[in-house]
Amino acid sequence: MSMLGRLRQPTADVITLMQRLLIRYRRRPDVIIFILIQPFILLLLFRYVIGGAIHIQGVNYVDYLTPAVVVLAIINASSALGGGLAEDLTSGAVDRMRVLPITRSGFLTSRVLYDTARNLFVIPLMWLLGLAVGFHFDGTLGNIVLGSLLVLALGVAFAWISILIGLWSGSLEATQALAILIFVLAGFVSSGFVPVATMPSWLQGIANSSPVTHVDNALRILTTSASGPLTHEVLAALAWIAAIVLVTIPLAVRRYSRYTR
Amino acid sequence: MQGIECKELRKAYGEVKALDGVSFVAEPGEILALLGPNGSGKTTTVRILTTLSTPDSGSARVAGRDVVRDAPRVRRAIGLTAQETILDSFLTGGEYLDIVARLRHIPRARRKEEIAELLTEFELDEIAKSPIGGYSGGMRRRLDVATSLIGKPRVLFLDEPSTGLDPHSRERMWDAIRRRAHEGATVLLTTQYMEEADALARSVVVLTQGQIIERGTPDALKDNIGSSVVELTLADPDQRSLAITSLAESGEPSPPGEKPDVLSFVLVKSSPSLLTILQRLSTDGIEVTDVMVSRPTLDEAFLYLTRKLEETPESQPAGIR
Repeated sequence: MSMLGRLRQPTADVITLMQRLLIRYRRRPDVIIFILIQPFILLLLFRYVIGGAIHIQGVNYVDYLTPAVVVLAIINASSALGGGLAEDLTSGAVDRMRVLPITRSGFLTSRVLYDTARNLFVIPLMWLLGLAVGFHFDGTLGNIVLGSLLVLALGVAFAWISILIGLWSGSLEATQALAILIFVLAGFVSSGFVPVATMPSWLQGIANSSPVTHVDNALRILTTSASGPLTHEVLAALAWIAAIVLVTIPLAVRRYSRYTR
Repeated sequence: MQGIECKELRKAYGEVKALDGVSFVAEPGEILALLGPNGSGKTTTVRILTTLSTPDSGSARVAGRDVVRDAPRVRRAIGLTAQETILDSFLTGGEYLDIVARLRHIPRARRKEEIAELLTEFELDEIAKSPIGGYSGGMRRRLDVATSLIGKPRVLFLDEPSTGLDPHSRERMWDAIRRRAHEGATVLLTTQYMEEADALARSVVVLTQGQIIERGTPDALKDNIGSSVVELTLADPDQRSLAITSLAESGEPSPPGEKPDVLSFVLVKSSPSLLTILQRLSTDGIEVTDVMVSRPTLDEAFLYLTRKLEETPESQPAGIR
């Protein structure tokens, strides 16, 4: 069978599994709102409570902040994925799927794609919330689309990390605890909320090389008056995302295939 | 061998031996019942045979394929109703059946037809368009079993399929299971109830603590399990162990102990008569103050058998082999 022929059935399976998950949105569109609450509160806190004390040369803090909150919203949403998977695994809900003649990677992929489809709604809504609290958009429509796609890709990387954590920890609670840790560390040890230059030098190294920093920086260059090496930031971010996905997918599929209660 | 064939399956979770050398065979068209109390290894067996778990040792073939080496092929041939299946509650019953049918790669035309038939067979027509979240336990169970039948699997695994069903639904479920076997499917069902095994199965395998303690047709099993339960009250509780030894020598099953002065055991077909037993005890100087004989239901007899094995895991259960 040709390569394409061998991929046809798994692709059809992933689409079917996606449809199953997407029906949930048709019935319960409010789940998207719940995902927005946490980052929105963070946006409000940093905009109106903490932001007043943060002064960054030549920038309105709300313009500095908003791209980072868009990124944080996606990291947060994607980190929740593994918890749901862990819960389904321990309750036996996925046994039905696991005895079907479908590939193991297909099942996991459909969940990541489902998450990504949801993020397609979350990202524009986050931008709108930013505009509502005074974000001044400076760029073309193409810029914001490109930037949002980069955030979407980062979400895929975090989704696979989250799945791996869910499969390893095997419980909802443990996965949530670890996911929050990653969410906080990855979100804040970056250029997201304050310039990296204000951190102690040992931390600067970590923050500067973080994929979140690269995405934050690229997003700022694309959507605000900030300037910088856009190509470098985008390529560094994409390299990170590719590396994360290439490592986590095989590990996750292996772990899922061997998962036994 | 197209049905189910397993040899010396062993599986341990830490110290606990979930399966300790389980072997049996089920042929196409046959309904085999795995009968046993909670924790006897029924579900572990089903999980291994349906590729959800792997044995520590031993081997199994389902539909002619090795469940470990050839798991994807096995999955193409089987249907499973697991003990607890949480269905996607936001889907309707009809949508759920359709999605599983598509994932089983059934062509569109046959899919519709088959789903319509299943909905009718399991009396789900009226609720097919409502979300599963609003179903009762029995409705969920029926949908669950219907789902496992999509695509006419050659080998069916039903883990306690009648849990939560009312008598009417249970009868219909039994009919559905019989129909599949009649059409040539191999059916393995697990149950805690002798009655269910008796109603459906051509062969019964009794599991306790991961071991097979009995196997045969339901009728042979009923004969073997015997006719009465005997309770002896001893004058002196200290003579209990002496009494056990005395009974063991005459080929009796070792009795399970609850009260120190009471010995109870099942009389099976091959057992000596009650009179012989009492004479034997008397010869050995053991005084019996009370004798009670009762006719157990099949389930009670089965309970006695399994309890007895748990009491004396090392000894071979002499009276029931």
